[in-house]
Amino acid sequence: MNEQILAEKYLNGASILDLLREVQKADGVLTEEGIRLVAKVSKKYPSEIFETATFYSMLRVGKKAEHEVAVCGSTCCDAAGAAKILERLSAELHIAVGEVSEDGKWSLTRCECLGRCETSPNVLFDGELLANADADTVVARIREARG
Amino acid sequence: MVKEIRVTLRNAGKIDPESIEDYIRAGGYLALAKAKKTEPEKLIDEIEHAGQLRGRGGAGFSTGYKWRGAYSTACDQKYVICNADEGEPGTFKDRTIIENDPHTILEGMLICAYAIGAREGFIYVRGEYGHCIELLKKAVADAEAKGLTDGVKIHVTSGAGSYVCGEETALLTSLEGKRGEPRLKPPFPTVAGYLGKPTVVNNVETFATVPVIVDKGAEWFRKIGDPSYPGTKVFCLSGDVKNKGVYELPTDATIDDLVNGFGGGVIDGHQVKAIQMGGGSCGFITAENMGLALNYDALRPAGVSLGSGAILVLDEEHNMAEFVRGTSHFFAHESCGKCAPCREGTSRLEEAMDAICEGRDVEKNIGLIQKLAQGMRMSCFCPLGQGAGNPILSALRLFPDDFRGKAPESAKEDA
Repeated sequence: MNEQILAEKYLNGASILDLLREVQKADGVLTEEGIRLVAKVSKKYPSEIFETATFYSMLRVGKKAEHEVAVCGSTCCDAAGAAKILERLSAELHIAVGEVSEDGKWSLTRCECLGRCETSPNVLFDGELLANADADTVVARIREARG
Repeated sequence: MVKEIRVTLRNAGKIDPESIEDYIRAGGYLALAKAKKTEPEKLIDEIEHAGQLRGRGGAGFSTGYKWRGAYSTACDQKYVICNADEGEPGTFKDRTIIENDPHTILEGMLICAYAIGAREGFIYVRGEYGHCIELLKKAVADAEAKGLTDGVKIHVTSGAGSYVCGEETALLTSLEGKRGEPRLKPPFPTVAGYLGKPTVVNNVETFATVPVIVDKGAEWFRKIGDPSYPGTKVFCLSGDVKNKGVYELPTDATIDDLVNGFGGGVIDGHQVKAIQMGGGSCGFITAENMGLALNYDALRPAGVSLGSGAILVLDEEHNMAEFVRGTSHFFAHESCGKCAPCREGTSRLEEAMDAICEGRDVEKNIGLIQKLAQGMRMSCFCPLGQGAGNPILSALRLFPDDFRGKAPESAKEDA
């Protein structure tokens, strides 16, 4: 991530969260270097930025999986059977919810409301929205990605 | 049956949201020009007293009163902020408004900026709404290019997945680049908000309504809906109904109009068991209360609120204990950790709901939840913790058998 570009964005009114998301988009996750870079640009201490970065669920400090499956677990999707989908996917991927597989290929999370409640249950497959999702469709996608 | 009245969503489906020309052709930015010919004090009066506009974000606070607060606080720098951190589960109206008509929000903000004397503003959009962020950024750039912003700088910034940041003081802390923790009020944001300067924070739907009031006049606006909460409200209907989606109705329409009329009723062969009114942190009503009108005063006797306008319909197949167990997980995850009653309380609520649903010490845990929720309502720092027990208590009051039925047969005999 280019420091100058980042500094320019900050001067133009981008918030620290915007910068962190920018860095995460480029690096996949927030590494120590990434956090130090945002701290430098915003003239804060790295510890302050680290504190902020660990608070928000869309920011990730640490390891990133190759494929990410997230099931919305908020009220409407929950009522539409999200828990059953999570159970199936957990069995399919052999990981618990919130884990990354040992080979670093898969992660499974229960994410917060996506604001798409009219098509619940919703699943995010590598960032792509699967509306009105059912377990079979998602499992098929996983198997397809495995090749 | 009542008709849908489109005030906030007046341009939805009629204009291209990416085209400022379309918006202007539909009468856009005329309200801003009209507002600028009015004295700020008179303009605020129009919104506050004549229009009686109340916030559409969930609290229903008087919009004009907020504007007046920021207007009358003398300061070199003031801010106008649009809260587009739509995180209440079951709510997707702000997304719909932004996706259909981003300029109306911007126009509302610019009118507010003029009224209170702000030169800078932010639209804080939840991180999940990437498409909305792009639309709003384009809208701001197009309005700037046409000279409509008149030097007022509006920035579009992104949240990063935190429910509590929808609370206005937590939003301000988050915008300052910190953990999204709420602040003590007073001082209210209108006195000391973003960076300690006077700040107005209004919801997307509120700002989207402002240009119409300025354009058509407060008298016109006040004739719509219920006098205690005039105008329309955008509702998000989800759950076990045929036609899920967003509907804008006058505030004297009933729950029945929305669910059975516009929503087409519950899916065939099923009945309404419960309706969660206002979002994930709110209480339930049963089918017998569906005649109530959709405004704060009418709903109060049933112990529920309008909240964000989220209406979630559940049919008889749902066990309410299981349902609110999910809610308790949500709050335990979203508690920011600032105050102990919420940080510890939401985790204990979660534990107690898990225990009930697994049939462990059901009676004891029901008692614990009742005491705990009461304590949290009195002692938590912000509405997140204060209201975390609401859905559980409401479900418990209306459907005690769903909870007690979780106890194993042997335990029931002992009791």
